[in-house]
Amino acid sequence: MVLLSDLKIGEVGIIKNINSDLSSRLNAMGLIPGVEIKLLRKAPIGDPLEFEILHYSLSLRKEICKDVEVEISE
Amino acid sequence: MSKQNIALIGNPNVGKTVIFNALTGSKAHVANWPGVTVEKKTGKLGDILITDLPGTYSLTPTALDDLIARNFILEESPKVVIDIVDATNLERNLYLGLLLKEIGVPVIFVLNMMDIASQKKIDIDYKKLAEFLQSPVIPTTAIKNEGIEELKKIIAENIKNESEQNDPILYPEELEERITRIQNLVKGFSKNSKNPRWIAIKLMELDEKVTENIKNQPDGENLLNSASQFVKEDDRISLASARYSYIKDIVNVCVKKTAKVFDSSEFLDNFFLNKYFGIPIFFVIMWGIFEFTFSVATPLMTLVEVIQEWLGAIIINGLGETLFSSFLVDGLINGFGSIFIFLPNIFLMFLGISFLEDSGYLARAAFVMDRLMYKLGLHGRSFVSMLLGFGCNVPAIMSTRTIESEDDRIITIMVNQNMSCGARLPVYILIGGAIWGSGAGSIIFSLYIIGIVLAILIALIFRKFIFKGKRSPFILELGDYRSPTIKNTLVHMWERGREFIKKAGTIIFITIVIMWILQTFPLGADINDSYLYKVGEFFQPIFNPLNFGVIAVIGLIFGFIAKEVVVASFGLLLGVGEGAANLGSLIVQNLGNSPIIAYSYLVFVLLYTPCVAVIGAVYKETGSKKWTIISVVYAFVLAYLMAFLVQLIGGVYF
Ligand SMILES: Nc1nc2c(ncn2[C@@H]2O[C@H](COP(=O)(O)OP(=O)(O)OP(=O)(O)O)[C@@H](O)[C@H]2O)c(=O)[nH]1
Repeated sequence: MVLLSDLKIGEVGIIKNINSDLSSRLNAMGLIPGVEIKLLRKAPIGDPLEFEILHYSLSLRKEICKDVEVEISE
Repeated sequence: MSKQNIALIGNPNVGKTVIFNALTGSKAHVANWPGVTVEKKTGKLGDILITDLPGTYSLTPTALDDLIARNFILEESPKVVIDIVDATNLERNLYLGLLLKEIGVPVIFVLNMMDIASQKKIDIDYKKLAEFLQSPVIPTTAIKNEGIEELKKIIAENIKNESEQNDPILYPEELEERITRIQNLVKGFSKNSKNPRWIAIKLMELDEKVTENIKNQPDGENLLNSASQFVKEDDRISLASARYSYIKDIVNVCVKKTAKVFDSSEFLDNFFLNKYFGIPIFFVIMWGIFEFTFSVATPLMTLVEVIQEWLGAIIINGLGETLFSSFLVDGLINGFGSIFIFLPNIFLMFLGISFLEDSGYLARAAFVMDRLMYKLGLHGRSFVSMLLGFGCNVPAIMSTRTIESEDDRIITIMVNQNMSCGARLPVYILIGGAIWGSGAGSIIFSLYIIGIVLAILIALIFRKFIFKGKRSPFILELGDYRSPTIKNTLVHMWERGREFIKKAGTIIFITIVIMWILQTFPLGADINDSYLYKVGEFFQPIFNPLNFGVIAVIGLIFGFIAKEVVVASFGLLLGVGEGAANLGSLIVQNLGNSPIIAYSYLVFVLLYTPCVAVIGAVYKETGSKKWTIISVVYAFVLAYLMAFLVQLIGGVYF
């Protein structure tokens, strides 16, 4: 298991655990255990990150991504 | 019989504004929600009152927009809620829909962006979707007005149905069982609770607002205690998962993607968000907006001036030199009209922002700049508005509306006035040129830098001492790029511009009338005997430590109205024309022929309130007298201190 913030570009993770005080809002954006999330790119200065989830693009600051655990899928 | 009341809701950027305008004929009434700076728009369809709720993804009580939407639905009990859904992304969009159904309010689903859905070869079976959702589903392409008539019809039908029974959407058995138990407790607790099922679900989610509300009622603690035995630790996630898996079932049945289509947004992002080019591209786009604004605005501004002169001449010819004609010409046309001179700037800049926003790039700009801005106590969205401030602070301040979080927005508004707007430049050129000649360029540049550095410092100070709490998060959808339609972009521009004229107009008008009175009376007196001069003399002692004389002080008073009029007013005060070659050196003479004092005067001009229109814009956008006053006061104090500092360092006192 790794943190969402540690995903490499192009890697897909399956969300396992969300441990954040923003979890309701993140849930509403589709971050739910079992859902696939792919790191598309980082902003030019390295933060925030852009993900693909449920067929749309979502950007999050790294800080929030540290509260989400994913399992890297092949 | 109270009026029928319905609401529009939807994720951000799904076309809610377009549909609202189509339903209400664009006659919106805009105000703020009580106590907060979030905009509230209402309009009418026949005699049905339509309220446009903020764009939201969920109804969680911790996000302001969500809470406003949720409270409206709970407290005002709209007859129907129209949930506008992006047909190209049902998976995420329907989540909000399920939350609405959960509240128990009748919902009409609008599937907007059907044109894009068909481009993307997405086929949706509406009939089945309506069955799943147990609500009407209407496909629309709002920008082409397709489906709007049908929507109006369905609204009319649904409004007539009295208290239609709303079957809930069911969760997996294990959850359902506990929901029922808690629901029964809630019913026992309060017989006339409108939506015990919703309350039960919120108790399982440990919703702060609902819990707090119950706690404050007699016996509330008891209810919470007995409910808590049926609540498990991760119910919040289980419920969310259950909603998503239900949506997945729906989408699997109702949505077919018939072909794979080239994803142009992904392609464009590889370019616009590129690791190496992303930032240069951002600056080029921003530069483009400036170029566009000023190259189009300049001839328009000249036109406004020509019209002013022409109107003035007609009035003087018609009425002669009377007090009334002086009021019309000097007060209204030239005074109030000075606002029209920078109206082209404001409108064109709004046009640029609307274009960026509608195309989908504005969200990307925030993405690109967020890291830097975050470090400076601001938000990715702040950057664009600070940059726009170099053009004109008014649209720049109004552009902060795209920043969702209140503290980020207020800080961004507060520091904007330090960005040196275009109207201050002529003052720098006039005075700087008179002293430093061809070396004035670097002097002027240093002023811009001082403004930027102070903006950053002030943002950090506000962050450290006033908004100490947790920083607001950055959770931003990067929607598909779209080619904005001309009509929509113009509508957006017009809405922003019109509001500015309406809201800022009053404060500007009052100030200008006062200035005219001061300048004109006592009648027939020379400008040096006018009340204005007296006012200047009255305030001048405050500026003694800065070595500013009466004329310089009156210049500042004029500058308070608009920096555009400073140069002209110096001409008036010193008895030469605006274009006079020696005007600059006359002012410098007035400032004791000292480069240091002149420079400190320019620093003062840079830092105190840019113009009354900015005060109007700050008031409009913060919705708070307190913040408006703070912005004026801190600007003045800062200007004073910095100007003093310049003279201290420059050795005027030694
Ligand atoms: N292709 C297409 N574009 C649309 C349609 N409806 C709206 N748009 C465009 O989508 C963009 C967003 O529309 P808005 O009405 O501003 O969206 P909104 O939901 O009010 O957005 P927020 O104010 O951010 O909540 C605009 O550029 C519209 O022109 C549609 O049916 N098809």
